[in-house]
Amino acid sequence: MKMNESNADRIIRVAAGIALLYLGFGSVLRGTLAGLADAVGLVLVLTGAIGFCPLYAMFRLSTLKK
Amino acid sequence: MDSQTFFKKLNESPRPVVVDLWAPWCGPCKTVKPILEKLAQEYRGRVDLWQINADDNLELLRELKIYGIPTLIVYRNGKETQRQVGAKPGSRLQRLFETLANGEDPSPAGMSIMDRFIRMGAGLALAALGWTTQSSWAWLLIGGLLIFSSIYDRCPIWRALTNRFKRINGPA
Repeated sequence: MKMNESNADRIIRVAAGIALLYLGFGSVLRGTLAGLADAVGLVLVLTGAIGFCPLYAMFRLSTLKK
Repeated sequence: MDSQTFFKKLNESPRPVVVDLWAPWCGPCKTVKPILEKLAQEYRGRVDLWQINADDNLELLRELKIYGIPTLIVYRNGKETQRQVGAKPGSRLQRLFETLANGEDPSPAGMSIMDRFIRMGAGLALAALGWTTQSSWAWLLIGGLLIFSSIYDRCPIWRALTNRFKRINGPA
């Protein structure tokens, strides 16, 4: 699995993911919206933590410096 | 290349240098070679790759105390900062080049300090979220796994287990 995210990209993903998870699980959002926030949040945290985004890979994108 | 020329060139190099010691008869070297060449192309101008045929440079091999190939030696400012023996996966090699290109020193697993920091931060945040919102043990578990992934290469139990596994599954 080749990394395709820069450090800044990763930090933003993790921060945004945690914020979304908090909205979903912290009872700020309810219903479908909460579920959606949780799902997107978890994906953002995990892709940020490992430094690899499958969507980037699919479109041959990368935020790593060249 | 004789050892004198090698060290002279090394001291003059303004960029980090990855030295790949290989041989034409070595299977794992052939696996790693195209990956390294691709990475060298990708990180051109930021990290240098020197590929040295071990068969033609026995004196240098003795000087560098090479006991197996492929061996990768990383040099920064003429000083060896890391040595990896055996074929490594492409992801790990890519992380090594990325870390060197960013001016950081790679850890034995090729993980930079920033990489560890991000994994650790994400893991701690997830675990804290799971703990404070009392939503699920799954968050604590995922957080714990992320924290472990940031330090696994330093964990003696993990190292002992993986070495044992390698010995069992290694060539007879």
